[in-house]
Amino acid sequence: LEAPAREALFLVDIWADRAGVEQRLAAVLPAPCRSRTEGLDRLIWWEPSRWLIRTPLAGRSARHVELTAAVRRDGAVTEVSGGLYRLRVKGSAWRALLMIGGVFDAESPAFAPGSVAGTLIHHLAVRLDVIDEETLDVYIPPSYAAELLRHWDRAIARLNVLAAV
Amino acid sequence: MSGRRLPKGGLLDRSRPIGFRVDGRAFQGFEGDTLASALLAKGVRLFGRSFKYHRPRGVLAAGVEEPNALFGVGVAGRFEPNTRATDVFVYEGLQAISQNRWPSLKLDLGAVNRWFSPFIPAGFYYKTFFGGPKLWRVYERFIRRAAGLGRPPRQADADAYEQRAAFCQVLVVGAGPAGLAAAHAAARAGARVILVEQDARLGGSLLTDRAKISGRCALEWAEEVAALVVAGGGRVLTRTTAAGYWDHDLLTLAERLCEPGQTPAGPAPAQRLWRVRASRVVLATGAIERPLLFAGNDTPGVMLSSAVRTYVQRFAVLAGQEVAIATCTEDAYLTALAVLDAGAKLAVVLDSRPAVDSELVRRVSARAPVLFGASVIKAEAGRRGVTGIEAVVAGARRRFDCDLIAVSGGFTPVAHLHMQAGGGLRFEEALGAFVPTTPRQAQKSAGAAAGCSGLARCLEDGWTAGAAAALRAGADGDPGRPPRPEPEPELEASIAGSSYGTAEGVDLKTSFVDLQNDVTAADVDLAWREGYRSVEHLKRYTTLGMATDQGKTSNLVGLARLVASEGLSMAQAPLTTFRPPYTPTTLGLLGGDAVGEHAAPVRLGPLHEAHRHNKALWQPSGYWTRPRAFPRPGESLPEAALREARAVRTLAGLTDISTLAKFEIAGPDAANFLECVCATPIARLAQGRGRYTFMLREDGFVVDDGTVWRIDEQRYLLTSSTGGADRMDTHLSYVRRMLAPDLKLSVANVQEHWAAMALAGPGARAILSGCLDAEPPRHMTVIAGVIAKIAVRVLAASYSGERAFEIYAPAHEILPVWRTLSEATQAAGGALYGLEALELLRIEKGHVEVGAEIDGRRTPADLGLSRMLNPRGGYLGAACLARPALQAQGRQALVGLEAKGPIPEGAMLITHPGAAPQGHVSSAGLRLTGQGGVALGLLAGGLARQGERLLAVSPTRGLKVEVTVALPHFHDPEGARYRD
Repeated sequence: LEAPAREALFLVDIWADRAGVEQRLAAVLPAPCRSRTEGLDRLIWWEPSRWLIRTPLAGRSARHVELTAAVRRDGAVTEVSGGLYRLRVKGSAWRALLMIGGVFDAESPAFAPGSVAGTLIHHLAVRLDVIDEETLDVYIPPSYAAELLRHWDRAIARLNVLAAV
Repeated sequence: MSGRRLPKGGLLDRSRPIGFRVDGRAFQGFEGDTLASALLAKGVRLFGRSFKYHRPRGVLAAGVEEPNALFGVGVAGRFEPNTRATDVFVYEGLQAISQNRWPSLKLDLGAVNRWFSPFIPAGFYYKTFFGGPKLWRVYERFIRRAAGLGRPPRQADADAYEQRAAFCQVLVVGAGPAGLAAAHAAARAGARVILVEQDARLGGSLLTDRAKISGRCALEWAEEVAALVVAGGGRVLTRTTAAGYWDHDLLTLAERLCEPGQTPAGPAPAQRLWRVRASRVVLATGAIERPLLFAGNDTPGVMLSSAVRTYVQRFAVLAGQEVAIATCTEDAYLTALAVLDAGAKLAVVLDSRPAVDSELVRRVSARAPVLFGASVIKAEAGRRGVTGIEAVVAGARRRFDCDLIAVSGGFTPVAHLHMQAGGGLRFEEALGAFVPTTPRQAQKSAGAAAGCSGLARCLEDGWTAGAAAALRAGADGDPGRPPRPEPEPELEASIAGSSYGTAEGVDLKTSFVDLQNDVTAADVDLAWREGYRSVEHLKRYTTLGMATDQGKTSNLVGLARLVASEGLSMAQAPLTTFRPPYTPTTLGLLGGDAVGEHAAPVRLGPLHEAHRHNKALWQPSGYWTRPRAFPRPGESLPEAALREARAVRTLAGLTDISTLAKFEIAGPDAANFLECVCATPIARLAQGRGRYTFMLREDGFVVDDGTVWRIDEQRYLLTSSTGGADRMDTHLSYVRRMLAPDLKLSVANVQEHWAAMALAGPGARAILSGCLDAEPPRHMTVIAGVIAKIAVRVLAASYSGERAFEIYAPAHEILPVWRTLSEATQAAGGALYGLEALELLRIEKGHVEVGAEIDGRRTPADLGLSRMLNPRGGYLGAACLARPALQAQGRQALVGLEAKGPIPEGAMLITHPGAAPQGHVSSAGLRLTGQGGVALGLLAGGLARQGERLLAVSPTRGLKVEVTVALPHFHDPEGARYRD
């Protein structure tokens, strides 16, 4: 488990002229349940008509202004940098880890890199973003992060013991 | 004579002896033994005492259906009661104790119950123990001691449990011939398969009846199937029981990673609960043999025929030396050959059927006497168990010496999961049992579970089910050809046949239908005579089919007796309901990882560490852990709360309010949306200003309250209570998506993005001025500023009755802001304050709170908020406010209550002792700037009763206080202390 450095997070809602917004953003927003990297930004479909954009913290204010300018009156940009923790899970067993206390088919071959899902793990609401076969990003409200880490610490210890057995 | 270990054979690792103890006595078994097989091998016959009459009991079965041989296994926090000796594999150091006996299994004083058995028939407890409460106190102690099977562990569970999700295209339950063939076909077709087996080894009946499949040993073939499943991305789970089949093809599997009482390796879990969602399910759960009804059929040494064969062929244990077989099926003849081959004397085969001529019968007849048309009357019992068997043969009574009676009353397909999934059953005459029909979900029963007999037929049935399941689940590869027994077995036996009745002259009072609950044939007949004609009533009156075995060997026998009394055929029999779990499941497994302080998620705020540093006393608040107070050394909670609250009244206090619900609503239609959600006017709110607001449900009741702030032209911040945060999120989402889907706006939950603190008190403005780069805002105004180089929003709003400011910053940047204001506040003589002081302040000021006053049953008028309603209407819930019941006079409404001392929170409000309650105290505290107690309450008639004296009574706490009804504002009712 890794806790990457803090980054700026923006929710982008679009209620009209998505094509125009994409043109002004110079980026195609990902389809439902998909994500992708565009320059320094990670674009993540969040829910219908809503995307999360993750960008380096250093350029936070400037990026906020750019995004707001891009959506104009066709949408809204809301900063949520303090509202989500990103945890990075590395290793080939991340799919098995997600099944512990989970309710979601993380072992499905369809849940491939670039896939996004919202689910519950150990009763905690999380968003999953598959980076590659060995890397997964997990977004969770900070107040629940300690509980998830505790759960995963124990689960990883058990996985390691069972793997050794 | 009794049981002994055979010198060779079995599926044991004889190079690995294993030591264990039962009731303190040392035994030795081998790797692969169950507790039952290891004890039988040592000549043990007495395994337990029956529940009611404390009759001596031996082992009946070889699987999970065992009703008699129950032990407590393990020690201390790993003690597991009611463990079936047939379902625990021995391990080094295993410790077991027998149950339901005192002082010992051999000498059990409870056995005196047998003498009183005529007085304690089925349902006797419904007819006795009448009398007054004083008599009940006498009965209760004895009843509680006698009740229940086994004793629960007294120490906390020492094990860890894990819960996992899994998904598959085809789930196969049972790894006997049919299940393996189903998994084989599905995996070859390309399906993702999960194969589940409750035993420690794959094979099912192949572990007992050796065969060759596709030219090789059946057990090798089973391993090949397992490898094929795994190679296809599936799973093979042994020692795993499919415990429940729920809606939408969700199955719960209980996997044992170590045996009961065994210590797991390091932090590994002892058990794992799988929640499997399957596209298709094949139920290859086999069939369970039924016992026969005759007097003394519970004597140690009476065993199921298939169990006797399993002990011989799988565990190399001959459970008796002189064997009698009583049967109505051909399957028992395989047992006859097995015991003969093992060197036992076969005293007789008593077959209740008319004469049968088959190769199998001829083989047995050549080696032992076989008598057809025979009905067993009784088992003769000696000190150590069975000594003989008596039967009626061709009208004459015959007696045979034996020390083991192997019985076969037919086979019952295991249809528990099928029925849990909503499936139906039909009676199949040839089999003499109910078989699955009409599946309601994606299940298909196969093999013996569907009533099939014979290896070849079970393999083909399983293969067909597996191939069809794979195809329907979307795997369209070639499933290959059905596996076949090659070469064909020399002898095959059918499981068809049934015998539910009793012979003439059998003593029904010692003919046990349900061995676990001591229910006799006489009990079932008595229940019927007393009018219990429904099988469900029979079950509850007699306890037939209850407890740990859930009637696996007894249900059908009892049902047959009931329908015979009714004059019905078995096909007309009403059926009982099978409910999960199939076998007992530990509570620890159901709890999983969510135990102790983590039974529910724990939420920690962004300032948690800072509060811990300040030695906060914590309070759970929903899932949150929040500071209740910051006591100084030697200070009690009430003292700390009063000190903190008085600091706010007199100087200043700082508290963490990060957990408040917060939503940003942005877009050209944001104001319209808020006018719909909030019951107060919003549209004319000027930029940079805020307002108190509250929200209604569609039924007109207040759901929450908070503040709304216009941040810029098209962006608002809406705050509401911590406790109602998730509910408000759902409420806003509902309004946005269902009631106002065409509005152009965004609603973002920013509860955790913004951390916040409230600085309150007469000195708050001065303290804030010293930290903020701008002039603090006027009351109900919001500004942007910088504190400790962090950009913040400052909202001037008061919840305490004093001038107050709420300072917001992104959660990840809040710490320097908190430190700066905390130091400034304490340097100025103020204090940090927690929830307890916050409560005292808001009660004295008369602010309502979600949960206490806003309890889901109050209208704005009830809470004194009607004058704030939007006169233009249009808000959610407006229409329902006009309902007559919500306008009625005399509704309970918010009042203040005063008393000379503390007022008990939650107390009833009554006019005089014995009168009906007219309301209750919703929140109570002490005056901060005077003497006495103050409270808020909800009282019928509300403020119309101002000045009336009432009693606040709490009978459970023995408290009664005289209170006076007053206005619900005890401090600065005009708001002069915080308005500009």
